[in-house]
Amino acid sequence: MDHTAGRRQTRPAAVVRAAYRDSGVGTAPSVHRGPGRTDTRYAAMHEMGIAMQIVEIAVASVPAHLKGSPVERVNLQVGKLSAVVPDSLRFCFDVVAKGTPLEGADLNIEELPVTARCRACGHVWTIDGPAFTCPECARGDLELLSGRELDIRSIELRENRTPDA
Amino acid sequence: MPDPLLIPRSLFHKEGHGSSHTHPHDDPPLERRASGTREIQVVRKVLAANDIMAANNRRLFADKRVCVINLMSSPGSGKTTTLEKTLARLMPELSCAVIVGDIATTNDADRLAASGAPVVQVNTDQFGGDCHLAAHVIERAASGIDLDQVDLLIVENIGNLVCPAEFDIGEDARAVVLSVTEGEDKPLKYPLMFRVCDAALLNKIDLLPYLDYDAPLAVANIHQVHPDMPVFELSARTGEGMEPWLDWLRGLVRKKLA
Repeated sequence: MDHTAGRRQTRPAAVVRAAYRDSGVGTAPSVHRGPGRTDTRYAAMHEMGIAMQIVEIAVASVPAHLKGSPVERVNLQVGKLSAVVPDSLRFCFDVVAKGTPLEGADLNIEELPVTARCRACGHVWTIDGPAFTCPECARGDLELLSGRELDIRSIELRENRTPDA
Repeated sequence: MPDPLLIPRSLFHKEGHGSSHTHPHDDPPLERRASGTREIQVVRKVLAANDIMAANNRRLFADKRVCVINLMSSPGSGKTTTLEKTLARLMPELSCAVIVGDIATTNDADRLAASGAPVVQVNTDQFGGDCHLAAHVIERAASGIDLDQVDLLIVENIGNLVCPAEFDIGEDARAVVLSVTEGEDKPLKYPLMFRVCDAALLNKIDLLPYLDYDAPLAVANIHQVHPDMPVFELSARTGEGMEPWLDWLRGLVRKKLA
């Protein structure tokens, strides 16, 4: 297709394919030009990318002297205002964890409420619905205290060796 | 190189991300036994890698003195038309460039390239396509633009009111386009998007005579989620109401160049 025909100053747009082959941690961005290569780790949901990050962080968090111990549980905190669907995340986590020390691990998701402090009157409250004005003074200049979390708090390892000295 | 997996202190002030009382840099991970397992304290932000990449982008854009806008919306709200008209009226007064994200096709980039602005299309079409533009994708796409020649870089994100809200790309400001053919309650259904944005556009107001649409209610809903956020009621098609939006953009560029 010649979309430049008859137009002034028009140039074809550069095309970048944003293939999510890796999670972007410590590696070059996996963007390439031309026909896409097949890779089973391409993600259609952003929960998949998030699950990949969780696995990567969890694997990197196992202390050297415990390498090889299977991870039994990953404890995650997810704020209710984050754009994460826990069921989708669990599904993706199970897929991504295959073949890693996290295979079969339980993804324990603690949902955190949305809490705010009014900058005008100092009132602190929990936001239950999509209303971000202070229930005390009706003003809207507020500081969110929680609700956007997407944090790994801890991982739990199964003991592989017999307890010794 | 900082460890991309550790939570940088600078991220703690971000709204509602919490954890400001933790000090992951100060102490080695604590271990304690809990019912036959060893618990290793980690306390790391899952999206720390994206946030660090976004901070790198932000530094690059500051060095190059480029003002970056992240434009988001649901599909079909008129982002591309708004952008076409915006470019037509801001150029050549301001030197603009565009990064446009779509799951597939270069249709939007082809339309926007007619403005004469450099346009980079990002396609995320592998296996159904990713739903947002992440910071590392923006970094790569921006490398195809001569940023020294650009005052204003507008990123047209993937049409989606959910996921793009979660991913910082290193922008100076975020704007969300809502159109009067969508429900007035969209801000209430997608509160995160309307919380993280700095301005909202209510587009297609030329259609109001033909619709049972309560524009004041839509604006009230936006303000219920994000009090005091500027809302620009406009029609990209007719040009009505465009000027306050353009002034807002000009103000951001002035501030960045100051």
